[in-house]
Amino acid sequence: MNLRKHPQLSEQLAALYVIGSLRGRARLRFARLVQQDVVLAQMVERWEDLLLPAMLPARPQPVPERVWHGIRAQLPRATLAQPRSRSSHLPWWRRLALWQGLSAALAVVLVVSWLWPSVPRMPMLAVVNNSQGQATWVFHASAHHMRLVTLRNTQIPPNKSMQLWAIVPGKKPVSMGLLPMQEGQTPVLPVPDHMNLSHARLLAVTMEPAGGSPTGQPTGPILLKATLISSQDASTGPRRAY
Amino acid sequence: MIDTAELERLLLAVACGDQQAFQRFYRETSAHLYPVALRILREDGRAADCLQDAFLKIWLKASEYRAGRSPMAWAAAIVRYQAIDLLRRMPKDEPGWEEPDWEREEWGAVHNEAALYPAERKRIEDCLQKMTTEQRQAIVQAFYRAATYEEVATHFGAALGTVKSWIRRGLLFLRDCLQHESA
Repeated sequence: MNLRKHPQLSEQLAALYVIGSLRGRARLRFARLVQQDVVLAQMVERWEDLLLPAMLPARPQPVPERVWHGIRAQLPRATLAQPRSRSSHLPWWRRLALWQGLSAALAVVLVVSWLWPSVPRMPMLAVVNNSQGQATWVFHASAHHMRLVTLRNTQIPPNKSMQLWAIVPGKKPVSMGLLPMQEGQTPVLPVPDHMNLSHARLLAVTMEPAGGSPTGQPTGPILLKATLISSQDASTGPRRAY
Repeated sequence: MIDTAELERLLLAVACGDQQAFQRFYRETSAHLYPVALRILREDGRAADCLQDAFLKIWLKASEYRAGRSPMAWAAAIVRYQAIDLLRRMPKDEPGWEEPDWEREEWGAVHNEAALYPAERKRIEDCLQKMTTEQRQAIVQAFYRAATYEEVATHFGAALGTVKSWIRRGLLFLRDCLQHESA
């Protein structure tokens, strides 16, 4: 159904999405539509702006320290070495002349990695090459989230979309949404509620009518595919590159 | 109250990969966003995990933030959707789950608590007061606790279809009322 022809329904769905009453597959379908349809995205934004700030309490609720540690451990490494501005005294490795500079950076990275062994929170990796064999999409995934980086532009007919599927052995392909065609686009793909991506072995790409497969299953042949590997096993490259 | 222009500036810096700006954004907002996760997930540990994942998304998606809209609404939406995703995935037979403390979380409790944005809160409150009691309570439960239609129906002893219609119509009423108020 084309939601643009049903503004009242779109408005209701946008509101239900924001309050959380839209659930399961319906929620997921709607989230994908929002990614593709600017008008719908604006509707959702309007509801978010109307409802969400109003429910925030004035009184701050102290957040456990571990939350920030967990976040910091997952940020790109390059700037992690900067001493934390809140430290009131120099940490021990700064006091050792030999350990200044780069070594201090290394030490911080090592300590962080050691203290938070669960650091690779997006431990799976896949690279999809285009038909010329050029790396075009890079995926980082955890069991319930997938992030993708688009490395180069892709040209396809205007009435077509490229759709991504996760393949779990012995199961039907699960749609992960439409692939972006422009270099630099980095959407976070919602993983279906019922799916654990760590069971997926393969990502496949099919050419579908614009907006995605009308049946919920691939209708075109598999054009491209890539194996999902655990990035902890990868011996080259950074463990994580956002 | 947090300075909206400053939050906007921080988010734009985060979009360029500025980790210090991200840390400041976290320090300014996390204690106000944490309750969003707590209210839905009802337990500190779960809510803390949720907040951690949500802030990673804030870091990753900062370039999608459109300058000019409320940075707090944008960030609260990310926390809220993360909490809802976690909630729906949780086995409901977890210990301590089956005590939906409905009374404690009634609108009254929320509205007695001072709002970070009192004017926005008041506009919504005024509109809610114009609804029927059932409609108001159903919307409040669905909104504040991310309760399902089924949970709301059980709570009110009402038919599922009735609850759906309360909520759907109530939301459209709310939109019209809010537009009218701001006009």
